[in-house]
Amino acid sequence: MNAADLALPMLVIRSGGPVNDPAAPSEPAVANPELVRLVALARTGDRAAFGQLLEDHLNAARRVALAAVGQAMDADEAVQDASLAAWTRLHALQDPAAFRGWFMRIVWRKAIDRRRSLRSWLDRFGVSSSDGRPMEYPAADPSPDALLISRELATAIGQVVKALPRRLRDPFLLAASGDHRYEDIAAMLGVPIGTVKWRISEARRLIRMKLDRLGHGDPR
Amino acid sequence: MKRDHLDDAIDHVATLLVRVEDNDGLSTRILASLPDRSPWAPHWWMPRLAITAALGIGVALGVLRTFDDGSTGVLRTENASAPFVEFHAAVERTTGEPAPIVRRTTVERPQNDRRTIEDFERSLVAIAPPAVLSLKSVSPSELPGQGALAVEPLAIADLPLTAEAISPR
Repeated sequence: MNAADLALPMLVIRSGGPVNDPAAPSEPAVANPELVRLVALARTGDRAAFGQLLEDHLNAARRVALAAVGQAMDADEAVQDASLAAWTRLHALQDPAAFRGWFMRIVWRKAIDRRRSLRSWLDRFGVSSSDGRPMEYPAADPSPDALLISRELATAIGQVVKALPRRLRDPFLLAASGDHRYEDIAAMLGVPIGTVKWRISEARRLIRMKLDRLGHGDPR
Repeated sequence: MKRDHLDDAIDHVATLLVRVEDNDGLSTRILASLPDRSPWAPHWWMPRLAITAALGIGVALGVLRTFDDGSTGVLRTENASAPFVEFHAAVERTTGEPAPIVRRTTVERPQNDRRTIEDFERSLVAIAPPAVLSLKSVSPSELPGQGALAVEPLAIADLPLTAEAISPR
């Protein structure tokens, strides 16, 4: 689905502050005894324990992969590849409490590998696209406390985000998922935290600048 | 930085870009595709076996080193200067006079040689020491005034054999 195919005529977003602030992670960083127990069981070959770990982190992993590949189907396949790799390399995980970050890094690498192969495939067959296929827009979920934006603005934002350089778009979308702190994103991308913050800020500045050129500027 | 309507819109659209719908079958499909991780699966125990074997070999080598009395020339801490002594000796040998080259050739009797040790022992009669050795004394006054100085041949009368009389055998 492309940005122009958004089903809703208006998008409804929550007002008051950022939707997803990476500085306020949804999951505490402290060691979770249940997580440690599940990892220990999965190391012994317990599929049920690994399945529980997978269930707990599946949607976050899919969002990470989606930020890289832009398509839900490709993201799910990347998560499947990453799950297989995590299952076979679970003995290499030093700290069971660090499973989440470790798994997300594997997911990100698998998704990046898939993105590169997709791009090479598209280049080989002469498909012209700035970065492979267009990103997919899932169905919106209107919230009651509303701040309305027009479909035209949403489409423009989607196109501008998609046109960002990958080094800016990747941390921006990872932060937008709301699942990760800056340090988690930095670990996934292999760059310092300061670089992540700068890239997210720069991405936002570029988006605003391009929207302004498109006539969507918001006078302050 | 003050946020505005556009910032909220950007955040919301970015969130939509990474939103995923529930996929209940995905985790089941992933679990079904996982290989066996039981302790009996080869890919599971072979790396552990290799690591254990490597550790065992390392421990064995370490234990064997403790029984070393130094007779094999293994460098020990207290003999740390030995290599330097060897080095200096090697340098001196290199810079000094070259050592004479001694060629040794092992001579073996041919297979068709039928001579025995007894043949050699019996082929020659033992040479007896000379009974009388006469030497003519020459005084300085008897030396010739001119010409070369000639010495008469030494005659040993009682020598029973000469080199020509020895059998070729």
